[in-house]
Amino acid sequence: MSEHQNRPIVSVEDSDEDFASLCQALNDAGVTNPVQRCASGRAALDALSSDKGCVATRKAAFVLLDLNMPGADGRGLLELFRSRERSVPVIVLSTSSYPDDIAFCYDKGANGYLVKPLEYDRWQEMIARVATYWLETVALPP
Amino acid sequence: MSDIITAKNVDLSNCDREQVQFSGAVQPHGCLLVVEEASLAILQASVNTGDLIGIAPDTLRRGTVEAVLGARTAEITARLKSESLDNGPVHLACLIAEQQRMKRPLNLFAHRAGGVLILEFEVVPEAAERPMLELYSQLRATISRLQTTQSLQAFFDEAVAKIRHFTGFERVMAYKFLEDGSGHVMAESNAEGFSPYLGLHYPATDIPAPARRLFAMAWLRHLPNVDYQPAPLAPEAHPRTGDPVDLSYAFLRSVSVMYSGYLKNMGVKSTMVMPLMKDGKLWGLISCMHESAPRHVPYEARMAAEFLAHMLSLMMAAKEDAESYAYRLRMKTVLDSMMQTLHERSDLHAGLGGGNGRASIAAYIEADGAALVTEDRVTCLGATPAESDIRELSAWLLANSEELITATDRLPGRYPLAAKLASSAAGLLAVRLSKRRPEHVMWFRVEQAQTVAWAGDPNKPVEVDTSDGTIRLMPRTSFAIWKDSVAGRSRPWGDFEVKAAADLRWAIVEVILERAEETELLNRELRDVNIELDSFAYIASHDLKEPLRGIHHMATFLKRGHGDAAEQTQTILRLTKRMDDLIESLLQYSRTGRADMALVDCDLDTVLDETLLGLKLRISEAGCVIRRPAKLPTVKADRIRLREALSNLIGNAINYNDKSERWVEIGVEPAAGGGPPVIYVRDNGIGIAERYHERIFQIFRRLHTRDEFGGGSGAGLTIAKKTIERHGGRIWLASTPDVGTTFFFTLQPAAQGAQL
Repeated sequence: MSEHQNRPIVSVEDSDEDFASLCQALNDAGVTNPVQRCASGRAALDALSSDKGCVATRKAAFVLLDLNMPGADGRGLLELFRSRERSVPVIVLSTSSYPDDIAFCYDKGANGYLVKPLEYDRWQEMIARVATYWLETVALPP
Repeated sequence: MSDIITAKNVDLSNCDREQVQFSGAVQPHGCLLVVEEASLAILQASVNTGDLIGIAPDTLRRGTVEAVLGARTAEITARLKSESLDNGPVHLACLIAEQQRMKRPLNLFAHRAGGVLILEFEVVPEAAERPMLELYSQLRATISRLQTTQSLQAFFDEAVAKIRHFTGFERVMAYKFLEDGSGHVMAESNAEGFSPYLGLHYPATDIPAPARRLFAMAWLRHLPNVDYQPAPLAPEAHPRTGDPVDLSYAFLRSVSVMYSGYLKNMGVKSTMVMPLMKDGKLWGLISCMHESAPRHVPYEARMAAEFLAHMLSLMMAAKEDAESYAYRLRMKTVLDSMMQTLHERSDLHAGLGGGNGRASIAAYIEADGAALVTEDRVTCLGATPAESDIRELSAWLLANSEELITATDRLPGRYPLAAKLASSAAGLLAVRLSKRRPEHVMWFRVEQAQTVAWAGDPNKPVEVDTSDGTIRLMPRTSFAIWKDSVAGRSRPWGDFEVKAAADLRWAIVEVILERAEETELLNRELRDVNIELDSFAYIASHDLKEPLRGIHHMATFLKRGHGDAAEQTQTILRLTKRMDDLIESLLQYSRTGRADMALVDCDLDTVLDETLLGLKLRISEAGCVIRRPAKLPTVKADRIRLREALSNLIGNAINYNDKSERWVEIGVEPAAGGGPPVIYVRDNGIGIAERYHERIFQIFRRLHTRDEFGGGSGAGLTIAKKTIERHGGRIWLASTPDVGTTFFFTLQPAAQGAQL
């Protein structure tokens, strides 16, 4: 479908349900890229703070980062990630529509900010657009 | 000489300056000799010496006092040298006819004035004298009665009655001077058939300044017969110096024609006047009058009356001070009570306006009406002008007066719109409350004309007599009660009332400042609470949305038949359970913040026993060792909430532990610097990195996934912290990752602890 179809999508998401919803939405959008999950803040930290993890992440098409995570919250992860890796697109997923949160994330180098909707259909549509944009519309960093 | 006013040229225009002390004549119930002190030579004599002493004045002036005193000369001149003669007449002797040439017994008095000796010989009245002993016992009884009176009014009521009984005068009045020299009758005792003068006001000109000065100089003035023929001195002045004799102290001195004329017009035949002195100033008079006949009070009775006047002054001063002290005391009580209310109610009108039996500004200062004006309200108490007029007055004061306190007894003369206020605000005492807004506390006093009955027209204290073709001003002949209708003045405000108004202002300012500080503090607390609430609501709603969204998505998949229905249903059930936990935790947290604390003395060891009993299963499952190295103190706490907090802390200590041999230690730190006891819960668990030390207390914040370390809603520490803070204490921690964590907490404020 696209030239990026082999590059993994990294999901930093602690909630099993939300991760299941994400996979379903990507599936419904026809995205076939592999999804690599960091199920906890600690796992994400490990992935980011080790060179190996970063190398893996660097290959990613984009990162979907849940802002509300136990342990290091999404904000800390975003800052840490951006201090090590500047090119890979990071799209923040959050329940919060709080302006301070949104401003903070863009300030720290997020490439997008999605407020998770309650309904699955709107969620699916959102994910589909993100996938279309990042996988088909733009050229990703090489 | 023309500017010296004496009986010869006095009239209304100058009676204030009449030098009554230089009257140059005596009353005929005695005679007077002016004597050179060194030689005892007679310089001047009243023309009536022939009648009383039996020697003509011309003859007397050629000799010395020996001519009069005869055989008693040595004895009496010796006393002249030994007595102190500078403070008015001293009784030297009673001369009887047998020893001298006089026709009837005479009392001899002497005093020194203007460098000469003045000898006064007074006729002893023929009326039977009261024995001295009887006088003394009457005096004693009178004074002890007076001492027991409860008020100044009762004191004077009693005093005038006793004096009338004692002296036999037909009318005895107590008369009080006001600041402007006018005065009023405050007590009287009359013989039957006499019309009362009680309450009457007399204009200042009725007792002009020189007369007031003379009254203050002697403890008693007696005029036995108003219709007397004065006996002038011959010669009129000192034969060598040409000075008139100063008769200020001479009790025989001929009085001002204005005075005797005045008394005649009142129908008075005889008077006796005693001053009431306070703090060295003339406060008032006791005035005795006889109308049916002349009345000569004998020397002994006068002495007793004079002594009584002395006592009256002393006692009255004490009584009046006590009354004003009582007023001041009442003021202080009222002020305290108003400020108390102001503190509690924090509204000026509630604080100062009374109601519900509370003290108000109306009770604070004696006035006919009082008002409190603020921008949004006017509170009126008693007789006041209309609200709109009070507002206008307040605005005018703000614009036209720099003073914080305005006190006037003649507002109509100062305030252009006073006509609108009618008579209710002739006197105004106002306290400015604001620099920019028309806000005042005001007291009003009615125009005094409404209450003043003058004894005659105060504006015409004398009348013009043109009967003989020349214009001569006469003391007025009408003493009909005359009500003043032009005054526009009120009873003046006393110094201490003005000071009390200033005190009120200070007290209000203090309360307002204090409240501003409190408001500032509250605002700061409120800001903190708002921030906390904001982040709380944010976090809580965020965390509640998460399972809700999961449920929604799973239900959507179920409906559409995507995926494993059984698994999805299971997820939905799990998520609803989690939502329930979250909401339950929220409620618990909210209860912790709001519910009343039942603070009692708790033995911490007992509370810990109960806590550990509740955790028994988890402790044994984890194989955790509980250490209790020291006896715990007794603290003031809400037992149940404290147990919850301990349970949360110990529960966490058990759960967040990956060691094979787990332990939890509960103990107390040695109190440092008198602070409150510090309780700790220590574990050998996984530890908490320092950057999370704040986050762990936020609600629903977990450092680990839901299923790691026994799960939990993430509200335990938040609730524990709230509980501790509600006790006035605080919680903090020290931790080393992988080694262990110690939570410390106190259960009372540090400051309070330091005092203990």
